[in-house]
Amino acid sequence: MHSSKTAPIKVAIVIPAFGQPGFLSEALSTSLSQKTNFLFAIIIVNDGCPHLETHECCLSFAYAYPDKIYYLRKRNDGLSAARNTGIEFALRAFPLLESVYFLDSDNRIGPATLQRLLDALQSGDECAGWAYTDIDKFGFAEFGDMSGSYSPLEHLFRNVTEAGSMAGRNMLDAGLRFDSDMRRGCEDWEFWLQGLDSGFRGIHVPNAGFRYRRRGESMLVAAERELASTLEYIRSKHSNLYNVPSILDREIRVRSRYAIFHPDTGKVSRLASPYERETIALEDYLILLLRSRERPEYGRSPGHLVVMEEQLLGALARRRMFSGILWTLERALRRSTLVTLTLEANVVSPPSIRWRDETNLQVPGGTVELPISAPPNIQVAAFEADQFLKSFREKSGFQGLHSQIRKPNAVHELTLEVPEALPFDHDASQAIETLGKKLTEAARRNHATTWRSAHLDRHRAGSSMPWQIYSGSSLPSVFPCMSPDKTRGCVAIVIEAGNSGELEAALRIRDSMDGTLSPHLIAIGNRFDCDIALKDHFDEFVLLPSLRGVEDTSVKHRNYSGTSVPHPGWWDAEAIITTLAAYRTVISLPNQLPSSLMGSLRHRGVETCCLLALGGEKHCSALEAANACIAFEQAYDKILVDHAETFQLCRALGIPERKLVFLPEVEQDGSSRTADPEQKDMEFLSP
Amino acid sequence: MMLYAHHSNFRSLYDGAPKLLLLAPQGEMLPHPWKNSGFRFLTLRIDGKQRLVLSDADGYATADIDAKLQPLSVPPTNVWAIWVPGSCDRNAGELLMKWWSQLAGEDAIPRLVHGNAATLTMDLLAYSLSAVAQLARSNANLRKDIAALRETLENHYRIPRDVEELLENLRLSPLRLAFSSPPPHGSIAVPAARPKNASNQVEDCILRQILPIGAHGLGGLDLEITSPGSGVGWITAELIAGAADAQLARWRVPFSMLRKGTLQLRLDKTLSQLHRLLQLRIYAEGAGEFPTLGICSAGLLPEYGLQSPVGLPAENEKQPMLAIRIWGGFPGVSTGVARTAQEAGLPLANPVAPVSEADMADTKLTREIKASYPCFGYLGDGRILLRPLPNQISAAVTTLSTPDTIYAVSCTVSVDDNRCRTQQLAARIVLTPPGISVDDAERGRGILAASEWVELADPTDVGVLEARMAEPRQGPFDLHLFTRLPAGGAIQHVRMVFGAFETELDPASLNSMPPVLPGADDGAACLEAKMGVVEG
Repeated sequence: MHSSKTAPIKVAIVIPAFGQPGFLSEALSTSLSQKTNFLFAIIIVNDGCPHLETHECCLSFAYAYPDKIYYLRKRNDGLSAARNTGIEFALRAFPLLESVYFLDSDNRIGPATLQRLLDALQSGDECAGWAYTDIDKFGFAEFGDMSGSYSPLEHLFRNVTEAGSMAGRNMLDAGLRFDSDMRRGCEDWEFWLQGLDSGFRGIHVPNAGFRYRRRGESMLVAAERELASTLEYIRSKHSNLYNVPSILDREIRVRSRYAIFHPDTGKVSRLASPYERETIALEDYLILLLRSRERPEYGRSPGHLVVMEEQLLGALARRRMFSGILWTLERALRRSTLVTLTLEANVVSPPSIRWRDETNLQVPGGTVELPISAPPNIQVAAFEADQFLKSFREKSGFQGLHSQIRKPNAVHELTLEVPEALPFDHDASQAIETLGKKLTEAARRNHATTWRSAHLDRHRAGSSMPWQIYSGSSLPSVFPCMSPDKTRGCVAIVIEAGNSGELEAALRIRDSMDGTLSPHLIAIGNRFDCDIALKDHFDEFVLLPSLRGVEDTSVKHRNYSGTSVPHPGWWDAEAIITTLAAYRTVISLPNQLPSSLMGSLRHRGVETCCLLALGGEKHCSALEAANACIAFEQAYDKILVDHAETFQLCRALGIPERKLVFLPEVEQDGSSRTADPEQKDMEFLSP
Repeated sequence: MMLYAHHSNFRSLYDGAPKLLLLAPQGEMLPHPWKNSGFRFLTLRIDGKQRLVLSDADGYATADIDAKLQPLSVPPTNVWAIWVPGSCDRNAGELLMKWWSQLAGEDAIPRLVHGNAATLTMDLLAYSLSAVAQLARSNANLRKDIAALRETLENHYRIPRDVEELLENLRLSPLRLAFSSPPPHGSIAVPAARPKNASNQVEDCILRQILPIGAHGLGGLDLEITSPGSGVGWITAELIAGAADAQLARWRVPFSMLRKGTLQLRLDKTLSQLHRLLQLRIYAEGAGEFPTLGICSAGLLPEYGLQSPVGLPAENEKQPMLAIRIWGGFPGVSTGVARTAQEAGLPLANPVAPVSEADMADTKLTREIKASYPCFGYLGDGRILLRPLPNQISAAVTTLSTPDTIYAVSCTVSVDDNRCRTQQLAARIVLTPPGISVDDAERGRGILAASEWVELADPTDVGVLEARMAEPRQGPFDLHLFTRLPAGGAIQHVRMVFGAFETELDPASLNSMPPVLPGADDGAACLEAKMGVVEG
């Protein structure tokens, strides 16, 4: 055995001990058996265990292995505090320490564990914070395959790094420690999330030999009972990681939401936003898709598969309508196996954009046969990637999409009338057939059946779906808003589709923004008439329809002190919230559907503003507008007014003046009205 | 109160060596008899900055105020006593004990001894005797525990009792095909291992194949010999547990025993270890033309590709792997491969292979079902739903594309809805050549084999169906599935599900050499036994 008196200790194994003295011997024996090309030490921290055997075991080993095992006995303060004590001792006692490995007293490690984990850390870049491995459980045996590249997104909803992992010196020097307030489990998950929050990343090390003892009443089992409250604590503590815009930002960078097959180019785009897109060969995508059901690699295989020509994608993106259209398809897909979209040119005056839809009832256990329509006129089709995989058979090939039992609709057929014809050569439903054939060929070429029968752990396998990462925010998904240059904060201006007065107000708001913000227009309704080129004024346009068979289209109204205020049904509410939840700022009018939802958005960190703009088709009086605003005033951060009379009325009705912002009205000749000394500056929209 | 320690002796305060803490006035020398006693003496001193510093009794100058000190958040380990000499005030000792209690709890406080050296000696002697007695008791208990554990391992099985009974009834459990690679498309020569040199054997001249299966239940594996080679030498295959780098088995087969076909490497007993990652290492020793092994494409999962010291021929640029079949069974059970003719008392059970998911996924209805709820479908994992209907026997068929010669096809049938209350639900399977109609299959015309109608006395029962042919036969085959309701039986929740489809293989048709067991030189021994030579 090396003497540690002169040579530096590079790794310390910290073993907190409380109860389980018999198993502690195993943990210590396997720790002593490490085969390494460096020196390491073992630090046992007795967390005030009342069993004398624990102390005796610790002392016996410490006595028998001087210069190798160090024993700290402290007052009981919980697992986190014990680990922190071990960390502090290690950092002080071993100045040249490179990492700390955490081993619970009832687990074991293989002889190569330390060496393999340290090698991985040393070969990582400066962001490599910790090394983790698979979790081979014994007792109640189970194998937790944690392989695949480390995914920060996945780490947000799944504990991929257990306590049997190694933290690099860089993480510890950054002051990261276990949260001693957490005493009901998941403190290891929270610790590694601290690393993620501080800019570090994990590295997976296969086959490192970590063995986790799973018993009937282990701390893990106890933790599972308290999981909801523990997760709430973690999300709250790490709001930087768990706020919706932050998750969306990661999702967009990983491009994990949509895979779009382009039948015109034969390629596939992976994206969540059109401004962050990766194009790959079809064969490469099909292999990704086939692998996704065998091996974990979170985010590589997007959960939504769309068929759309690349030329059409480009045309819609130039018109700033691409994201909104895809979003509507995604919403419909939550209750349908297949969603199709036909784009019809409808040259009318004024130009309009209009959604029409029909739904088909579910055919029990049936198959959606393809192609769907004759003559072929479907430009876009969307379905779930995993369902597509389940629908093909390696022997008989692809013969249609099997209906998903849990969804009430087999096919949701949507039509979008647009002012001009858009490029279109390939029917999307025929292209699905082609894609199915290609998938069958790829499966045969790559012997997919061979691996289907292999005994692999697949609990993390599968395509990535938005609900996995947004469920912590109680959302199934969010609209992937992004500015074209990927840097500016996005502002949603919400109007009622078909209300020209609201559109004018929206344009006024947009004109008052400086270049640091990205304006998006969200029009709620099925039809939007507009004789201006929206793409010249807004970075994104979303016409948000109520989808038949998906949402409750009957709008209810409530009366607030004589003013009628609309109230959306449950589905409409979810559609609106999920569309707006990722925005930096949302501006809406007081007597609109979103009014009653502003509180929910504000709770999620969205800055909410109410625009009291008079005029438009509703001919809303100043008093009505102010009254409708008062009904939800507490849900707004700012209230924008464009008339002095309205400003005064708002103050009179009790709206705090600090919330009121005066929006200079534009005269008919385009000039701005001179600001009244009493009026406030339009600084509310600065970043 | 805060205590400190010099950086140079900080970590040694927490090792296991026994310590005594002397609270003597500063400058007082340690009594002579206590030096070199095996104890480490610590003492508390006040440094120039009025800090309480814990140090070795004969080290550390008090005037050194610039020494690097570490604060102690945990008291030192294994301190037997705090000694306050009789002439000194014991209050300091009590304060120190209070500090100890605050940081480490009441149970960790060392004893306070107030008195002269003789008092300390008696106290330590008594403590030592007590510690020795405790250690002796612990030791005795440990030995008893180990003895009990040994006895348990020797006399009790570690598999569930019902499985144990099943195995006893079966006498031998057949090996099951756990993994089968795609068919081989090429070959690779087994490399020659370099001889051991002074330091270590050079390990780059071997083929390494990661296996897509763990050790638990592994019974053996088959390699494809595409050319047996010539000359004099041995082909060696080692099964290595990846994480532990432990060798689990080693087969060594002389070239003279090889021929083109399947080389069956078997174990005496299926493994019961729980190693997850296994690696097969293969090399050859000797002179002449070395054998070649079949390789195929790793396809979708190149991480299971073969590592070779030489270039690998690829199929369509895909990473190759060894053409391999892996067999498994119940852990710890004999594989039935005998080392000697004397041991080979019972015939080997025929190996069993699962029907591929691709075959089961293509199952089709052969009688129309009209219902407003799902009555038929592929449920994944090789399971087929086929609900019986009133006054009609439901039927479905699939084509089995197995290339092997088989004796029988078997499967299970159960009800996967625990709300079902209908008893005597029945199922049957019929094996036919391709093209036989469902009506002929039901009536037994032109069929190869059929099971009886198996009735589930209770909806929670699991039935086993087997269609066994009189002679082994090569496919393809059609497998017909039938289900029926008992007369007047309720139709609610009667979701009858077929699963666990298997074929029983004819080992004589596998173009195999006799199986080989691990051992230093036993590859030849087992083959000789099979050839009728009795071992002495």
